[in-house]
Amino acid sequence: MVDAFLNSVGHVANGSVLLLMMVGIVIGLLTGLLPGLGGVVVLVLLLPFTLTMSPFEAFALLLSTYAVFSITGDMTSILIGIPAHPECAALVPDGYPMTKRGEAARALGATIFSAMVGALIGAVMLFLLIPVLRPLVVDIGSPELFAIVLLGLAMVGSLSGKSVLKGIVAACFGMLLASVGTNAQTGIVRYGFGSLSLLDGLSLVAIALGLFAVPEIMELHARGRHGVSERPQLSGGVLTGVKDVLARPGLLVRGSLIGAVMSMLPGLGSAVGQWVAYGQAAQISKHPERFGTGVIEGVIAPASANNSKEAGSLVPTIAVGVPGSAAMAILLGAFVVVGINPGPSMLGTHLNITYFMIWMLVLANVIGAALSFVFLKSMARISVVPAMTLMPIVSALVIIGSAVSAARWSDVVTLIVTGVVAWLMRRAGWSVVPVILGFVLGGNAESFLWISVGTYKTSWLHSPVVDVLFALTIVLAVGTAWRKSRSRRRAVASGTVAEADGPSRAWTWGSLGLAAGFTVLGAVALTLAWHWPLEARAFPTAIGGLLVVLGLLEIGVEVRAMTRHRRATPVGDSPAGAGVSPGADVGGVGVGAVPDAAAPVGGPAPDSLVPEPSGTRVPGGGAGLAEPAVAGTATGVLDAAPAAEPPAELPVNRSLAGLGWFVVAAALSYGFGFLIGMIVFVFGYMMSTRRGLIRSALMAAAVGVAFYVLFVLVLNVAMPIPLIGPSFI
Amino acid sequence: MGIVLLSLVLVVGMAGCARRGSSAGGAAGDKAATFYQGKTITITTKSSPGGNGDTTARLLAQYLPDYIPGHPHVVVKNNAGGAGSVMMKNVAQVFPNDGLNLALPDTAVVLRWMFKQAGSDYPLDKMPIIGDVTAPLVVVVRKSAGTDLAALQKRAQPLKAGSTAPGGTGVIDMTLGFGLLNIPVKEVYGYSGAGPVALALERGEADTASPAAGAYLSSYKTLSDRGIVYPFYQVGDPGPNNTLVRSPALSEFPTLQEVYQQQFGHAPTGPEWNAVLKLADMVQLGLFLCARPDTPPAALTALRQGFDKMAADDKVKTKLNTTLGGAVSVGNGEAATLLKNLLATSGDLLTSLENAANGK
Repeated sequence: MVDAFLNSVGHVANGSVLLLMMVGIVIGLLTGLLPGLGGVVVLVLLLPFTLTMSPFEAFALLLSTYAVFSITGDMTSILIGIPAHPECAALVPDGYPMTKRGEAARALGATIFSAMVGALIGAVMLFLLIPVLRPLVVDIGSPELFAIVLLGLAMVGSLSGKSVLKGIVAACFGMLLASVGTNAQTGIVRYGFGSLSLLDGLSLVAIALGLFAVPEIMELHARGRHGVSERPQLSGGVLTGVKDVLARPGLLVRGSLIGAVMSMLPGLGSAVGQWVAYGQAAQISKHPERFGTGVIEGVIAPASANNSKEAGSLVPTIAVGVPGSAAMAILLGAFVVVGINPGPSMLGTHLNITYFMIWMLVLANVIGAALSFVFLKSMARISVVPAMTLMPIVSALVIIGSAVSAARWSDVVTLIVTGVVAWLMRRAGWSVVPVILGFVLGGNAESFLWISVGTYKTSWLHSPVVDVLFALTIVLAVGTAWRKSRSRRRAVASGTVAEADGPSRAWTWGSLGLAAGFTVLGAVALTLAWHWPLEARAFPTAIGGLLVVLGLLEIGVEVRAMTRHRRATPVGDSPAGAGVSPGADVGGVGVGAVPDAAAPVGGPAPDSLVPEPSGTRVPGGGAGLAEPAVAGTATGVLDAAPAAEPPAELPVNRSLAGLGWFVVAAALSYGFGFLIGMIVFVFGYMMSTRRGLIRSALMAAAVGVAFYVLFVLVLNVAMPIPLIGPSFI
Repeated sequence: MGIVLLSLVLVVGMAGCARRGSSAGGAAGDKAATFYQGKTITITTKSSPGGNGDTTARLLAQYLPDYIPGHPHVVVKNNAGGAGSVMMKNVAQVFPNDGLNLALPDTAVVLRWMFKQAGSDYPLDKMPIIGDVTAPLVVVVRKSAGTDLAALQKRAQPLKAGSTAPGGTGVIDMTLGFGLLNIPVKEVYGYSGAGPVALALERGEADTASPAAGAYLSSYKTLSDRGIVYPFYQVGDPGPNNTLVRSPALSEFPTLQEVYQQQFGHAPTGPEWNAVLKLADMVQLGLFLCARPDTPPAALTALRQGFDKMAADDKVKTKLNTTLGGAVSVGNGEAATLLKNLLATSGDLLTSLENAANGK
């Protein structure tokens, strides 16, 4: 064992290995910024280069790329509210509001430090526990996985914002989306409507970008010349972010362990751990209602989980030869290419390679984080770039990212439709986070359930592990509902939140419309599924039925609330909450502040465009009016209250105009290919926003050149074919 | 001024937007020897990155340039969607007829065409084959489920066969094979890949599986080495007079025919056996490179020459063998015959295959 360890150190010190590791780190950090591309695509592009390498060189290149990929992916979630990859989406609900408040540097500092420490914890866990983890990975069967997925779904309560009912309805909507496509049990195509594009189901990339990116793009347009954050000072926040992490060791360790353990379970998918980590952070906090408003805990937990997952997913890959994720499938391919059979030999004759891989994870993360810290302040400046400058670039990246992930235009349609629904949900005070959770976990739940039933009939229900997990799920769900209800009652009693606080009147109608829409969708899903075989219809029927029942219940709640509003509002007055966004809802981050209107009541001086960042001062000391309220949490640390009052909504017509531009960009790409489409779009957009002819032309040309060099010359990814013909890209 | 600049931007964009390599279509009449000089061939696969098809495509892309006259550059693109239909339609009908775009379909694409499933209206029967890489199947059984045929036949409960979904050659293999051997079997679908099925076997959740040889090598061989499972049979290569013979690279595993003969004392016959022979043809065809129907003859000649040379090279054979678990190429002539015979399947035989693909 000592020999193997020393041998691995010797290989790490090899010049070519170190060089390849550095190359991998740079590639990983750069490509991690590109939406939709995914670490899998980058790894597969690197794979051919490893054919002639030694195992150590090959793993140095591949693992270092893979290890740092999420670090920069997290950055886009925080800076512009757009997850570069589905695995980074959980950073949006709290990271992006922090950026809006001028705390981009702090959020980024916390994220990168959490990611680095998370990766180290994952690597140490891998180092210490591989011999005993093998039985754990093997013994967790489909019934236990089903129970774990249910436990994950119980997090919906914590991620639902103000209304648990709305959250469950949204999660059902996500699960229904997951049931689109060819059913694994029967082979029949569910909700395919004869479309080839739907045979393989809806794309996770398109759904994640639709839920989080499109509403942000709409709001970017609405912001006009203002930046995402108008706070001019960006310095100092990075260190505060690091200190935030150090002050919350329990949260950091829990997030890291959750990320590592969830990624150890093959079949769960790599996007699950971050949400579970986020959910547990909200669950344990005394103020779960603040999650989604920009609390640092909501950044630390998913960031640490996101990078510890790399080590976790290595466990089944090297210990049992089963890839824990798509990226690990490629790594497994690399094992075979370099002539190594993963499995028990990795703990015996090839133990030195296992140690070497752990070294690579550790070194790549430390160096990757250090490199990121160097450029962090520059990155944070993106938050003060005029939104109308970001909007066309981000639109181009998001459209290209969603279309090239599977080289099909239908994903762009999914992106736009999901985006519109997400924008409506956010405006009407619905959290979109449960939708992605339902989508990610829904398919897993169905598969694991059928495998359990097919294999064990009903006997699996008597498994002690399954029963304990079920009990935990119930406790979690009921506990969350009770705590939320208590928290709300207290807030109402203390006057912090008005009884009728919520969306404006127009958006109350919008919320009612959404509830009605989801109810109708559930009914349609039920009707269409009726004639399918039992195995194909059971899941969508159950979810559709639940959607109808809960949707009707939500309609009742909405109608009652509207009636109360009407009674409570004197004739001639605007209703309570009018002009106030849902604000504090998890995932309701799209409704950002018009900077001039963002100053909190009694907050900073009128000339200050954004409130003081929460947590930038020593809690409890020098309390100004903008000083965040602090409260002890179950984590034993301080949980900052949101610094600002709910901001005013951005104008709807400007947001819709943003959607119009986005659709134009997609249509131009579909018609003429990305190159012409994006050049024309960027030029047209810049001209229409009066950025000047020269600047517009330069920007359009830059986007065109960047696209061609990056996606065509360097990455050479498959592109969908535009209407004009296959010779155009 | 503005219009002039906009025009300039558009002209520059138009000039640069042509796909790389597509401008070379004018060389159609050149000889095979020079057809691919300085060009880039794209192999399109329906497989997602890291999948079996993707790995095969990337291995081919690595070695083919050395053998195709003119030494073109070969790249791989993943074109998922429609269970392979999108890839096939793009290569057969949409991409330019310049000999630079090839598809790498697998037997699932062939089965969709044979069963006339939705979206299978691609001209598979007219697409010329360049070469193939076989995809041998190995049926493994968990030792605790029974160590010999007699024990398996006497089981009170059917063998639980782990699989991702109905419709693939693995399901056909287990349904037909166990059916012939009178072993009760029940398919359990929903696993997310060959790896999770291997885990299910290790923990005893599944009793049997039929992985492709590549997956056997990466995920199942370790189980076999540790005595948890044993290779029960391989389908085998098509032999003379409706028989099956051992694949050279899997020579230590008995064929389904051998196991049957050992038990029943005579060679298998009948409709089920005919369906197994069709399955053997599919396995032998495996993954195959094909081009659009009207590909320039010079391009086809160069591609076929190059592929056959590559397949005959011991270095490549070894790599295919170690990476894809015994995969070899049978040559483009034999692959074309195999495909033609498969696509001509009809009547009861086709129904048998379709039922077997659905685990019936």
